[in-house]
Amino acid sequence: MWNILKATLHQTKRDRISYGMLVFMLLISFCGMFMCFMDPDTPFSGVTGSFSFIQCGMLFGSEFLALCCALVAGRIAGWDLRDQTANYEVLFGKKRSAVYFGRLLAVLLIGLISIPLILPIGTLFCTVCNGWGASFTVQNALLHTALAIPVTFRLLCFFTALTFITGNEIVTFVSTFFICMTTMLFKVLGEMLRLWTPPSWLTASLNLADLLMIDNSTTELINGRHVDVYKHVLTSQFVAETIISSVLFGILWIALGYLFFRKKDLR
Amino acid sequence: MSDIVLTAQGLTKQYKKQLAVDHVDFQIRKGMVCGLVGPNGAGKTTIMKMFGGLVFPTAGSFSIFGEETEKGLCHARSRMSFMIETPYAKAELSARDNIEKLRLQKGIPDPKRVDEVLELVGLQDAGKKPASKFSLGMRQRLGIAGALLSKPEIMVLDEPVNGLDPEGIIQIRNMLKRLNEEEKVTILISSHLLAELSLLCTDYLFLRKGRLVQEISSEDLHKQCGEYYHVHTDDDARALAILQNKLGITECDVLKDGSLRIFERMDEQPLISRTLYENGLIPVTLHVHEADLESYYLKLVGEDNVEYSESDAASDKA
Repeated sequence: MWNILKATLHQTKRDRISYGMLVFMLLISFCGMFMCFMDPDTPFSGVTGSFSFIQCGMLFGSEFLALCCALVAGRIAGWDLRDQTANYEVLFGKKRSAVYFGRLLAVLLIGLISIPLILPIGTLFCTVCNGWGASFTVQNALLHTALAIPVTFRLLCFFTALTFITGNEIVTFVSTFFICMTTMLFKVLGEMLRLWTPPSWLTASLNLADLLMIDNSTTELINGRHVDVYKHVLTSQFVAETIISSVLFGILWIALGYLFFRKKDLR
Repeated sequence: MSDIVLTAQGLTKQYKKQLAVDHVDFQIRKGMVCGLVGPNGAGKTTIMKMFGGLVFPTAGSFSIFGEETEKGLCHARSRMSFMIETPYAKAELSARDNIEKLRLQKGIPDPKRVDEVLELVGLQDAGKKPASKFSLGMRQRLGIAGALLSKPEIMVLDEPVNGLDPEGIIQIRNMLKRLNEEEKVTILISSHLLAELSLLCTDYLFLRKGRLVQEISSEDLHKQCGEYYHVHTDDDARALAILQNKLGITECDVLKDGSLRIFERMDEQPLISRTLYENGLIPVTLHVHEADLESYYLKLVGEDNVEYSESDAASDKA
C-alpha cells in the first residue's frame, strides 16, 4: 500500500493536469474576491477578509468545494484506472486492497492538504490588504473552516469510491454537477412543497451549505461605515452531527468502493 | 520439488452470454517458453488475465508456483511480470519517469535498475519525451522494460512484438531467448506472428473458441510441420518393418490410418521407393511433406468443424 502511495505521489508531482487543478482551485478562491469587487456599493477598502469569507461561502460554498474534491479524487484515483496502468499493480502481485487504499490515501493526503490551503487564499489576500474586518469573527470563521475539513474528507471518500466504481474520472467530474444540483433541488422542493426536507448532515453538500453559506446578517454602523455583520452560532448538536456523519459516511463510501473493486473484473 | 510453475484446471470464464474460456487444463514447467496460439477471441488474453488476477474465473482453478489462495497468488505474482494488451505506459510521463514509477510500486530498492532496463530495450536515449509521443514500437519496448524491471521468474507476454520493426523483433526475440536460456525464465507468450513464435517456443497451447484443442511440444510440432515422407502402401505394418530392418530407419510415426511418417533420409526418396518395391510392396503414396506452423495452425484452429487428427495435419506436397 505504501509503495502504491509513493508511486502515486511520484506521478502526481510530474502531472501537469494536477498542477492545472491547483491553479483552478486558486482561481475559484480569487473568483470569490473578484465577485466582491464587482459590487459598486463596496469599495476596495471595504472588502475585508471576513467579508470575503462570507461572500466566497455564499457564492461558491458547497458546489465548488465538491467540484474541487471531485477533481482531486478523479484525477488521482481515476487517471491510472482510465489508462489501465492500475491493472499493472494487480499484475505485479499487489493486493486489490493495496491498490484501492494506497490510492485513497494519496487522494486524502493531497486533497486534505491542498483544498483547505488553497481555497482560503483569496480571503487571506483580502485580510492582508484590508484587515479582517467585522463581518464575521475570526473564531467563527476558523470553526466553520475546520468543520468543513471532515466534510471534505467525506466528499473525497465518496468521489474516490465513485471513481473506482465507474473506472473513469470524467464520469466522476460530470456526476458532481448532478449530485450537487439534485441535492439542492430536493431541499428546495421539500421546503416549497412542505414535504420532508433532508437534514443537512445527510448529504455532504447540504452540510457544507450550512457551514459556508451564512445569511443571518444585520447591518451595523462600525467606524462610521455600514457593515453587514453575520451572526451564526453553531450548536453543539450541529458540530457533532457534522463530524459523526462525515466520518461514518466517509467510511461507508470507502467500504462500498472497496467491496465493488475487490471482485471487479478489470479491463 | 515439482518444476510445474503454472497450472490450469478446468479454467472457465463466462462474460454474460459469451464463454471466453471453456474448461482449459494445462501445466507449464519451469524453463518452458510456451506459445498460446489461437485466433482472435480464442481466449488467450483472458487466460493471461486470470493468471494476472485482473479477471476472476467463473469455474475451475489455477495455481502459480503451487499457490492457489488469494494471498499466495499475490505473492507468486510478485515473482512474475506481465505485459497484457496495452503495454504499461503513462502517456504524460517520460520513459524514465514511467519505469521509476514502476520501481516505486514494486518496491525495488536499487534506482540504477531503471537505467539498466531502459538500456536493455534501447530506450536509454528517449529523454523527456512523453510516452504519448512514442511510436507503437517504443511503447512495446517500454512495456517490456517494465516487465523486466523486477527480474521475473515467469514472464507472461501478450503480443510483445506487436508494432515492432524487424530489427526490434529480432532484438526482443534474442533478449527473451537469452532470459530463458541463461536465467531460466519461464515465458508464456501469445503472438499472431507464428513464424516468430516458432523461433522461440519450446511448447504450444492451441486454443479455439475458448477451448484447448492441442498441447504440443515444439519437437513434436516440428515433426508434424517439418519435412517428412508420407508413406502409404498396401501393407503399412510390413512396410514399417522393412524400412526399419533394411534401411535402419528409426525416426518414424504411424498415423491413425496406418500410414507412415518418416523423418530421416530426406534426400533418398528413390531408395525408399525401390526398397519397398523390391520387397513386394506397392507404395500407394510416397511423397515429401513440407508444412509450416502457419498451415498447421490453420488446419488446427482456423477452420470450423474440423476435428484434429494427425492425418488432417498433413499438408502435402508431392
